[in-house]
Amino acid sequence: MRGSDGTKEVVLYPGCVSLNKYPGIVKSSIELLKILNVNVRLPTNMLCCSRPLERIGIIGEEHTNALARFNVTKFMDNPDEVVVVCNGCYLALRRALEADELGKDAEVKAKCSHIAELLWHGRHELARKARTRMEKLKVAVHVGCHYLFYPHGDIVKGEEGEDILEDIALAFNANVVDYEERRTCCGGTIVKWFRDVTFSIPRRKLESIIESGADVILTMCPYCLRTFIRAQQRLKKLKEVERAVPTLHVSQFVAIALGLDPLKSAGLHLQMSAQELEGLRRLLTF
Amino acid sequence: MIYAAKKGLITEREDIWLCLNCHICEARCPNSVRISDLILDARRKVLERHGEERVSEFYSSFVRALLNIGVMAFVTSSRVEDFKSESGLNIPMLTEPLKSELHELLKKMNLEARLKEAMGIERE
Repeated sequence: MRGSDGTKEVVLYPGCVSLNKYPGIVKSSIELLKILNVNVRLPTNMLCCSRPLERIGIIGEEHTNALARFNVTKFMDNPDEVVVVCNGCYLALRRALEADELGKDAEVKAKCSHIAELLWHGRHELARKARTRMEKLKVAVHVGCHYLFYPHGDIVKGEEGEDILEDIALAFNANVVDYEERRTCCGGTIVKWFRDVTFSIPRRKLESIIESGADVILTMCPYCLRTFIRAQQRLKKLKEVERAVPTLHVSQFVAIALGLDPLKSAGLHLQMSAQELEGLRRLLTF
Repeated sequence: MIYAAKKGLITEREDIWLCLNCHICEARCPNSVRISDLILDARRKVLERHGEERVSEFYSSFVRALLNIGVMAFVTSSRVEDFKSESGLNIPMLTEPLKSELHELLKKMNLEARLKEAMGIERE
């Protein structure tokens, strides 16, 4: 749908974790879409994409699809495009909106995009507006499984780099470091009673990232971001690591690159310690 | 695996709960087997047939929250609350008429009863 002035209109579906734990991801996404000349609406009410329940086995794909249809028609006024900031929401909503039973239904017409895809398409335009120097920043990229291995269709693949996030980081002249566990899972999706296993997976991933010398982890999934933050808090408590590597969502990364306020727009103080924030400031000179 | 799950033969095995549902195995599978779907289906069968105490223990609050307010992760910090307010991000949770509509949908799919049964909870 185009607005009266010809601009594109989308609904930004924020997802529970980003909205209620890391709202800076949502705010920076909104601000970036505006910079890309996209009109943004939010849902009128918030209903979970229900993917976590499907993952545990409590509900099935058909239920997730029906709830997605309910979500889009009731709370989003049936837009042309729903933009998500989370890989779990992406899997649930994209699959549902492309499913046959919905595709045949003229009432539901929306397609689902990830904010990282819009930023990837607009990366060169956005990079021309960059105000923060990123040359000193070493970035460890973690795309996240539910996008990287999305099982129901094609995803955006890297052109200049190995994947969508590396392309975005490179567009802003950041240094992308390689690390051995780059394509493995963050471990956030395991069912929660296997405490030792739950912790061992992010631990292996984080050790690999720390070894790479990365200054920040760049991801496009708030759930992965949450896993990295919490696992590092535990590692620090156990005195198994000397330093934590701050984690940024791709919207926050681009927002900072464009000179938007790291606290008021990107909400970094809600996910980083004062020390981590200071370290980032020194590398970026906001 | 699905047959075994239907017959209740894998309820004592923990393997199906260890899967991360990351789809990496599917990306590598030379026969394009939808392994994650099979695992999730097996989990459903186990929950339908026997329930699973640990699932109830860990996740019943999430299901309860979904039924009652529509989301499973909620604000637990005043700093986040303040940021949301200042940023115009206070999207309402489910209000009464919408909640009723959601419950109607869940009933139509026979899901509300299943959720309560699988999780051992009653709607408040």
